[in-house]
Amino acid sequence: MDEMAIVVEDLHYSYGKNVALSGASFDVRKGEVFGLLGPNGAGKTTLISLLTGMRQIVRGKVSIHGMDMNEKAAAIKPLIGVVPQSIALYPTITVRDNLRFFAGIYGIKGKVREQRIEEVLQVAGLGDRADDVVDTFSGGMKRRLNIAIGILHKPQVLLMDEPTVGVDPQSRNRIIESIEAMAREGMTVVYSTHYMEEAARLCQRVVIMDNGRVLAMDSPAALCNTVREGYFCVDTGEKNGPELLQALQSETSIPGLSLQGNLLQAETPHVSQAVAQVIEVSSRLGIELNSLRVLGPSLETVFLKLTGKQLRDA
Amino acid sequence: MFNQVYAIAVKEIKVALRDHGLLPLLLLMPAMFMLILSMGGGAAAPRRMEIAAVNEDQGEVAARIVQRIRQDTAFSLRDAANGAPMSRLAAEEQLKNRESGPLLVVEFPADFSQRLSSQTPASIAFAEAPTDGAAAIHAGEERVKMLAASEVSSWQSLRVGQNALDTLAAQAAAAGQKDFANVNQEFARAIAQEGNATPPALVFQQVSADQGNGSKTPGRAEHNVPAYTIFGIFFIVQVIATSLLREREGGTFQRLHTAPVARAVLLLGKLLPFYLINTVQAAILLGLGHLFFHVSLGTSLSALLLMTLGTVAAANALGLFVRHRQNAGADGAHGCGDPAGHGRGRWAIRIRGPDAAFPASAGVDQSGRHGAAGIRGHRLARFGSIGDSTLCRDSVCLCALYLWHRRVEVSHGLGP
Repeated sequence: MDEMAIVVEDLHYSYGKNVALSGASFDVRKGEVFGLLGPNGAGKTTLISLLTGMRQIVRGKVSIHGMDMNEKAAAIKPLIGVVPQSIALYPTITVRDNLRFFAGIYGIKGKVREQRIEEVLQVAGLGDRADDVVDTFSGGMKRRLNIAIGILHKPQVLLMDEPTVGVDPQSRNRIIESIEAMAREGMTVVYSTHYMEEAARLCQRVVIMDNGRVLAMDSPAALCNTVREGYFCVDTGEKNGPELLQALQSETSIPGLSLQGNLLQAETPHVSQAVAQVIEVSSRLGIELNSLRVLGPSLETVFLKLTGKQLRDA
Repeated sequence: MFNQVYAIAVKEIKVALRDHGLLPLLLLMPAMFMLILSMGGGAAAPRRMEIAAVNEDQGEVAARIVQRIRQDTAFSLRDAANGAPMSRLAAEEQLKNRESGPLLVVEFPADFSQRLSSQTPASIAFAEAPTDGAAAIHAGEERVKMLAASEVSSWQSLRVGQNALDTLAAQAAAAGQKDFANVNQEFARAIAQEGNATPPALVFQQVSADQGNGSKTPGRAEHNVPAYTIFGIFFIVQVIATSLLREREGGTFQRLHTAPVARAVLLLGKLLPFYLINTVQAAILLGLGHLFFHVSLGTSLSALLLMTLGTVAAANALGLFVRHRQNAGADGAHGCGDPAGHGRGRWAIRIRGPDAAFPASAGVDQSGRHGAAGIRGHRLARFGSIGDSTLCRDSVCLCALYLWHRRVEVSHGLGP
């Protein structure tokens, strides 16, 4: 138990009649980078807000470093750093003033404060823009500053809620590198994201959530092994879908074929063979395919298998 | 805790200083209102000052002075009550009536002329109405003193001339002289002899008047300075509300909730700079009013300070209650619920405000109706605003305005 940074037990949370979390349970080891995966509305942000003490836990239990969040929130809060999904900065003042303010909130003073500010500025790659007003920054720079503020007080647990949303590949890479560096220094990171490749790269373990429930929890590799099927998806163009589906169903033995609009898709253990058959049949019928997407067993396959392919509007 | 409050307060000040609209909003705008509405158009024709004279003098000098006052265009004189000459009692009663009573009572004692004739100082007593239009009354009083001194001097000259003639006639009669060849020299000598005597002195006494049961309509500046100071103070509602809404909408508030900082500390750090800014603002605006318009700050500075700090606290607290951007007026499209009633919006309430704060040029409903619920001497004015919070602000603003006037009355009552 001492090795556990976070323990979540049977956590429930509702917004009125809307259930956001329904019996979520998992644990995060110290020094681990732990991924929270789930579609929109899965309950990731609610979970993080409960882990940070932003919302009151009414049912279930959250322990951080062995302390109950409901009982010892004041002792827990200095241990945790938060990188919220929104860019929570003061845009009209400078980067340095933002950092000084949050340092003051965490009780960091004097030379230590200035030293820490320089360190996090280097981590965020903003050393040469420290005295610029935040409003003049690009989205990626603001995201990096958002992270810098989260790690300013050297937290033992860092909770990051989709920190790379809407940033360019360069900024994203920089952010991921900085998280890897923090993880190497022993910081526990809970990383919520939509991006499977980020989770696969960063996280030792991930939890996949949907509708407020934990659907799976393991390392990315172990989760991939649970899914033997690959997945393909073909854009048949307008009006061709039913004809191609009928031909494939009568001439091949590809399992689980389905048509949603123009998209013909299937999950199968023999993806390559199935794709070859689709191409052959469509050529024979004179159907020109607009696009073809093939996924081998991956975290995304696991994710889609567990959470389904329905669009989420939440 | 102190470090956290300090950090939050410093951040708030930095954010506020980056807002280039803040200074004009808090200082320039109310100051401009004060200046323009106190000095600007819509001014009524100057009224004569109501003055009552109690003449108990057995001689002629007081009557001459009263006549001079009557002829002066600055005054409207009352020297009779109920068909009889104005008595001291009647004048004092009239002075208490602040709706229609005189602003100043001038009293001449029975021995006024006699004392002047016998070269001993004679006194004139003044009693002022207890009102916040003190500057105007003082000016009137000075004018009466000037008229009195002038009339006494004139009377003195005539008396000297008369005495000289009398002396001359007596000398001529005694000598049985019928030749008046040397009369010019003799007259000049007699005048010089009389003129060397010290002219009779006038002593002016101040008589304190009883407090009445209301307030006379004060001057335009005397209304506008406190009114627009309070108006300006309540602009902080918008500043605080906008600041809080930005924090909520930007996510910084939520972020701060994840930090080890108590809500009370957060609140204290957030409001402290605004409280200080507001207090300085009030001091500057009242100081400007005092400096440029000679508006009385009352006799009790502690009462003024208490009143100001209370108003500032009310304004700050009100800022915390605004939950929506449209109510904060942060989009700049709100109907401003100001004491001059310029605003128009979906909430239209009719309340009573001071005459002078609502000049005709401000588009005010000047129906002039008075009622039991209104502040005496104040006309009906229209307030308009959008949103419940601005309505609430208007109401608090008006209450503060009313309290201000009460304070002025009270401080006058406590004065010497």
